[in-house]
Amino acid sequence: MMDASRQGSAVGFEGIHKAFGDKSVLEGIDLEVAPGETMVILGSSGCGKSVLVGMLVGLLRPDRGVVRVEGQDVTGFLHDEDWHPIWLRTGFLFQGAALFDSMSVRENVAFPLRQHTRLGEAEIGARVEEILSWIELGGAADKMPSELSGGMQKRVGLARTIALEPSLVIYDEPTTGLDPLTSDTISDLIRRLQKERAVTSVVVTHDVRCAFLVADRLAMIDAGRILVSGPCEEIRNTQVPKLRAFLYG
Amino acid sequence: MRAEKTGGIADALAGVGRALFDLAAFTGGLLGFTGRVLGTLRRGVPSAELLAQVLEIGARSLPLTAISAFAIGLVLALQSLTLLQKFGVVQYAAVGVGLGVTRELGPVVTALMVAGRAGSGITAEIGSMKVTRQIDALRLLAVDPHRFLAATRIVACVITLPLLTAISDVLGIIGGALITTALGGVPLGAYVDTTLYYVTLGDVMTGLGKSVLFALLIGAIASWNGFRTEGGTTGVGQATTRTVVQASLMIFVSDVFVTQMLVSVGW
Repeated sequence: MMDASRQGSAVGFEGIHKAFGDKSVLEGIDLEVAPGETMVILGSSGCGKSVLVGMLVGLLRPDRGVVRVEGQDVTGFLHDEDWHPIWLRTGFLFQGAALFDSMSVRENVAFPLRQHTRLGEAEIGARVEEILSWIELGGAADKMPSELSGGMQKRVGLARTIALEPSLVIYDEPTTGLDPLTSDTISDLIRRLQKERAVTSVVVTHDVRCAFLVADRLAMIDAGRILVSGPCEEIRNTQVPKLRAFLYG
Repeated sequence: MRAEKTGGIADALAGVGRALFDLAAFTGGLLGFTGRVLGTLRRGVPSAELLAQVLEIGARSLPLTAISAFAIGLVLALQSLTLLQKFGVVQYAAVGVGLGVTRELGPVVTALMVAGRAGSGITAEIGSMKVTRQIDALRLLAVDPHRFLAATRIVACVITLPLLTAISDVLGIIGGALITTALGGVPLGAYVDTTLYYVTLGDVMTGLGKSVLFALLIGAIASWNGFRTEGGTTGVGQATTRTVVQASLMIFVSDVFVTQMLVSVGW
């Protein structure tokens, strides 16, 4: 039975286990994310944080445990058709942005609108302009993804992700491979998106600076479990040796 | 000595077993994939993507298939003339060229060219999308990649390959005419009359029918290999090579079966 708080959470993981062959990656993850909250999941490379958020959109399935998205148990979803309503309300920013490289920036952002709305071309064009100016890339609309820097690709990926105005956005290593200034720009966009549009955000990162810039709460995965979770200040002042070592070296 | 022999036989049997297993896995995988893709056709094909693929596969393959078909016509006529001159019936070179091109070489050579050019391109494109997670991105935007990527490319192959084959037929016959009239001394009118007399609509349709089957094979094999690409850019290269090899072999194998079937029913 689900209790009321879990039912009301935007995202919920309960007793999640996942192994790849003999290698156990997740060994009982429990985590809840409230609506409108930005939860940052920290952890070293290969700790399973991307595996965990992949379960929110059906890229991976847990071996054991329950995954909930907006109160709905999605653990048993087997077919893409089952996921469609969730996908239409969820944005996922891939680590490499995963822009469609045969399409221009404008076409990438327009793509979900063309696929899932009845908007005319003029309305789609206006909406794309609006989104591109929001991410401050209005001048790059006709560029191809290969002409963009890594940071610009991430911003266009974010623009495409939010085109359908999702209520939940998942970021998989949004600042990996970017210089500190560009990372801050991405972090600022994540924060603005939450403030201006009240979306729930789940951010997976090992970038501590980004984590503290965007998080309402943080959780750290270590040895397949949540080592510690809590609000920013609590985490910043942690006395847990492993977390301190991760945060401050 | 006997032990060595027994070991050799066991190895050979194991090799045959492995080959049969691989063949079953290939056939099952390809049929499963094709069935899934064709199932998406109930929802129609995304028209803009289909048009783009028709242009990519059809228009851009045309120069290659046209030159190949013209060269085949030239060579067929040259070979026919060498033989027919001995019997003093050079005018029948038109028959060899016409039947050879329309029933066999037109569809087969055109399909091989399209498998090499467009098939490898389809696998490389879809394979690159797979390893850069663009296919995952499509899925998470609630767009079925099997419909958007594979169905459009398979249908585009089925539309364009018969058209390219028809053009190849005409160019092959023209190539044959060039040699037969220039080197064989056969008047152009006689060449055309002989072609029209001996090459029937049924011959042309046989070749075009084969080209539909070849198109289905090329589109399905190329898309399937793209979708199962693993291992970064190296994997894309391997998948592309696999497509050219598998599609070429399947064109020959299916051609043998279809031809045998047609011969057995007296076509």
